[in-house]
Amino acid sequence: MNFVLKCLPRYKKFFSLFFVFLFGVTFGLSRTSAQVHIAPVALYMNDHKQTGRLVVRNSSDKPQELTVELLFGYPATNKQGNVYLKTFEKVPERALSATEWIRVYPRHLVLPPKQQQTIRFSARPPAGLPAGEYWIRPAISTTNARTIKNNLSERITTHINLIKRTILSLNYRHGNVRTGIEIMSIEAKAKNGKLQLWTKLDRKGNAAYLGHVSVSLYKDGRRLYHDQKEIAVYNRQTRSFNVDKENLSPGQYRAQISFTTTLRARENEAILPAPPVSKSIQFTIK
Amino acid sequence: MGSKLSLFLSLILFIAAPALSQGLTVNTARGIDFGDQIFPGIEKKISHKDALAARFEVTGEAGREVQILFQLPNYLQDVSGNTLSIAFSSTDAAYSTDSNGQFAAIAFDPKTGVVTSLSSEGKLYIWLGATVLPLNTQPGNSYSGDIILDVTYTN
Repeated sequence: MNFVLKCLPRYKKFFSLFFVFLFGVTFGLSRTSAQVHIAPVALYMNDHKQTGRLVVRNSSDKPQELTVELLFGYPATNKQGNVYLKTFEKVPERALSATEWIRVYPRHLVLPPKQQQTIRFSARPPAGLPAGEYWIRPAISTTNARTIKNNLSERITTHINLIKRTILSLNYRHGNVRTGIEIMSIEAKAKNGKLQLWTKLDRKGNAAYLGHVSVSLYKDGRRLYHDQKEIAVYNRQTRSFNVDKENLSPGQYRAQISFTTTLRARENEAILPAPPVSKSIQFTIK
Repeated sequence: MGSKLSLFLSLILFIAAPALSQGLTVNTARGIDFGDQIFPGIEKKISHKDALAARFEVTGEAGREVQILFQLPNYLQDVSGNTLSIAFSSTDAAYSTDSNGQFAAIAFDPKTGVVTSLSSEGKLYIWLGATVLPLNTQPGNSYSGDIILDVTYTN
């Protein structure tokens, strides 16, 4: 460390240029056309860390109106087994919602060009709250600060105001929290020449399962297909994993679906660890 | 003094950059432009393939799954309260991971939305068209309304 500090004055011009270059590459140059950038997109709070913050940056040349709402919602699946964000206008009874006791500031502002603003969250969980994870979806709407025009001509003209709403996640952990996942069943179905693996999942513990799912397909001991992606399981659900491989020949196949939190936990210490889980099924394509 | 300040600012910016780079950016590259050739009693349609369609750019984490959903108006309104109907068909929205992919973009219903993944560069491009339906007696004026684009990571 001392060596670095001694060398710093000698090479300060080099370090200055290097850091300016690095910053430009990692943030500035790659986002020259960006308007409003929000980070991070996931917040984790708990009894020891009852405040959180995110940064909104306006890199456009125009002022941006910004509004923050606190929604309740979580990823769920529809009848087709596809994931979507389920939000509720009115929070259902006994829902694991933190909307009542998390505050956000500011809720509304006009962000000048090339400026950034910190949005702060603070939690006051009520006494007697059962241990577990409670959820909020902060929704940040941004739009160009608007002007209302009155058309002086007799022509019909339109002005459509485009509002961008970025919906983030905020998970508050109270008391002892744990998570896990159980693969209840897997069913292989062919649809339009493609293979779908309908998988019933049950989340264990009292917090959302945030990890990776990998899907593999084997025939005669040879792996024909493999895909891995991040997954969030908040509640019991049935998901359809599509095997992106056409014209599978008739024969006996084995599909394997595995879940792990290890990869995600390595990148983010806020991810709750859970034991890896895996399940296979055999099926025949005629 | 100048170079010390430069060094200090560079360090600050370098420390701040990773936190900001982990976020999500939604950019409106262009709004829907019906122009001023809208006439009473004559529908005017802009498809998602049209150069006048709205265009959005989403930038985030490479390969991450996102949900794209629109909240759309049924009409636009002028300052006197007159309304102009606007409609969105089930193919008026489209997405692509290619910035030049407007013609080959995958169409979707803007009202029900779509779940897809950002490209390996963390990009997604979205286009939106619409149709305005002026009445035979539509008063001339400037009509305005809001379209909301919701973007969220699903995982």
